[in-house]
Amino acid sequence: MKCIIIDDETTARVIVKKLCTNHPELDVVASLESAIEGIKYLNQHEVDLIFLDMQMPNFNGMDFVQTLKFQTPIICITGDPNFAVDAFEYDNILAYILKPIDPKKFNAAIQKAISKKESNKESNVQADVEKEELSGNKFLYVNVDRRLIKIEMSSIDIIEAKGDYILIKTSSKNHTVHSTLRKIEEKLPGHLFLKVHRSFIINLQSIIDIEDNSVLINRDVIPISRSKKPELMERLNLL
Amino acid sequence: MMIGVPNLIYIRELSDGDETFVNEILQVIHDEFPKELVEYKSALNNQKFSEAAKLVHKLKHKFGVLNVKAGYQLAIEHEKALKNKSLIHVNEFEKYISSIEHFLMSNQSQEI
Repeated sequence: MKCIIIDDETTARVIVKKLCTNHPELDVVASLESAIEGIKYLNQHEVDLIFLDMQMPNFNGMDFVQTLKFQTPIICITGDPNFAVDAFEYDNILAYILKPIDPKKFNAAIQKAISKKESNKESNVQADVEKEELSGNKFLYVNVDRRLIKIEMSSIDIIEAKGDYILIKTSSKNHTVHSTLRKIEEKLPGHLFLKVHRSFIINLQSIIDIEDNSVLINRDVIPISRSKKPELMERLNLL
Repeated sequence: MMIGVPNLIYIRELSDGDETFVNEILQVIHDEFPKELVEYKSALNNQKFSEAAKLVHKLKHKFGVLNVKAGYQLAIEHEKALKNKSLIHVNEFEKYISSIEHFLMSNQSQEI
């Protein structure tokens, strides 16, 4: 599991990194001094777990949690117990550990993170993306942090691959789901959706404009791979 | 062992025999503590309470790492008081600061 540490205290970063060495499953890929650095890092990289100090100057841990685009699991580490009240409103916050860190509590939090990752994998195998026909409408049920979310397929504009996750963009909301493009493609009606690039599936009815090697859907410019372009053009002629 | 005397018990518990880690933590404290202390005193002298509170927040962690539990708890209260522009805990806090300074200067510790 790739993890990052975000804490303005050097001693705290050194300690968390040390505690992580007791868990061979963990790979600390970055140790960052501020929440802003954390945001910048996560804009470029995907991780499986974040160790986050809640009390940092200017942009604190709660600001970071609210800004985070994806539901990456977080273990909060802080000296202020009052933050716990707000922290547990967020499903992706797995644990809240007070400083100075008790190694036993740290280890218990890591086990929770590992269990969560394993259970996400299992639910993926068991098909957390299911299709249901209801009164002529077609729906997808996706598993997001152990909640089933119902998405009307016709409302899906774009599905983008994001490492171990897919981002489902609808007209009203985005959903990040632990799945693959291949899995979800099996569930989508073929006449409506097309995989136009190794990282993108699009709803053909959502296309606003087409350029040489891309399509415009809402404000997103989606690339079309050369091999997929003939099929796309053929499908559009049939609409 | 007296409560409030800096020691390496916590650091050694974390280290699991790794002396490199122990030295790394002590080096960070040696580097950061004096600077933070100077900044804290300057903030107090200039009545910059918010700034002083931020520095107490940083100093607090050194108390925790050096197992000065009572000092850590006092630092929590002192930080809150400073945010309310109160100097009620300044003198008490100073005693714990002195104990850390002495520990760092002598580089001695009391261990069980």
